[in-house]
Amino acid sequence: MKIFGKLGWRSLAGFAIGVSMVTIFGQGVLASLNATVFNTSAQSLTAGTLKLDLANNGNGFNSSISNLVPGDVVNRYVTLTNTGTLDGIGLTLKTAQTGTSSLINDGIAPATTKALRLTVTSCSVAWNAAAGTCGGTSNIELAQTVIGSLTSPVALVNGALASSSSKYLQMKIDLPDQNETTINNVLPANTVQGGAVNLTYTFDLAQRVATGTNS
Amino acid sequence: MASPKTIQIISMVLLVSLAWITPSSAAIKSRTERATQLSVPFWSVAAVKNSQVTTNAPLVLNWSVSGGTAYDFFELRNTGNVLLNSFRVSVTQVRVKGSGNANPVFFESCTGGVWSATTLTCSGTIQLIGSSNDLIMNFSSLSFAPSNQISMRARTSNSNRDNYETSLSVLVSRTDVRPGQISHS
Repeated sequence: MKIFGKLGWRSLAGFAIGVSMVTIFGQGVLASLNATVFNTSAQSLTAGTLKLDLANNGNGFNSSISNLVPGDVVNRYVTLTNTGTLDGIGLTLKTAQTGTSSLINDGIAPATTKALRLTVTSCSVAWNAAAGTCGGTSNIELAQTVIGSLTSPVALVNGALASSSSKYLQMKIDLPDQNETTINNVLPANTVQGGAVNLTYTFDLAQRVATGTNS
Repeated sequence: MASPKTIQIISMVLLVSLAWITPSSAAIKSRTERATQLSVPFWSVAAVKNSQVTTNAPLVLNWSVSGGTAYDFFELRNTGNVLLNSFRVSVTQVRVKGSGNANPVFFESCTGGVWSATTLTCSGTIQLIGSSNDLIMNFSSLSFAPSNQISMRARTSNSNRDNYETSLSVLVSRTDVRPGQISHS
């Protein structure tokens, strides 16, 4: 049985030659060498953490301070701990306060009232909160400052706090002595008497400086 | 409508800005916060007639003594909220009419009790505090608690010099309250 005519064979042969050539030249490209390599065990990368924890040592910030009279000094103790995995730097403190203005900022003439002041001192070991003593080395971290001046963060003198390490702080609040005389049940103008302040302490810790390493 | 070139420039600026800003804003920070309260008491004493409401004015005693001895009674109330160790009372006398000086007025407290205006007796201990001649009377060595009062009697003798009045102003200073303390806790 005649399946292909004379022309049919020729077409078939031409097609076969074309396919062969494409195959030959195509194989030439596809056969170029490729090499791939990868680590058989995946490299592990983890980001560090920075966690600043505040704990009361004794009363700390838990209990309010009442009946503070001019000349009083109240020391409270807290412990800051970096519970993260990263070392921290640039420890700062700021306060936010609401209440009687004469207790927040010093009076401006003719008012002579003196506001509450804060001093922060660190100890290399935990403070004895009951006795107010430091069994190690103490350092002034923040010199005596009127609380109204602490609304922006102020850097503590030794602001580094390594991972898993603690900073033991004495927070000293004092109301400067000042004379105020009440006459016939009338309090003086701009008085500190009968005043109250809500005080919020905020500590901020930043991560250590980013580094480039080769190893 | 912005031209493609303008858009290209803006895109470049944004990319450069992001490249600079990202490293600092991406830094990790940790914060901890605590709140506490502080309060200051007030110190105040008022001189008022017995059982009368407190006024913010000097107490004025009016005298019209034609014979014998005259008395008046009043209280010194701790209207503050802090214990007082002392305070002072300023005394001034003014002749209302007539002539000559007014007789002195003597002030006596009834410690641990109260004066009876009807029987002129003290249920506690009588203590002479001072007289109008002193100008200032000092109350000292007290343990004068808030809301407590000191019962007082003013006494003067026949002057035959018509009417006069005695004015009492009470002064309480910072030093009348406990001294400053250092506390740790």
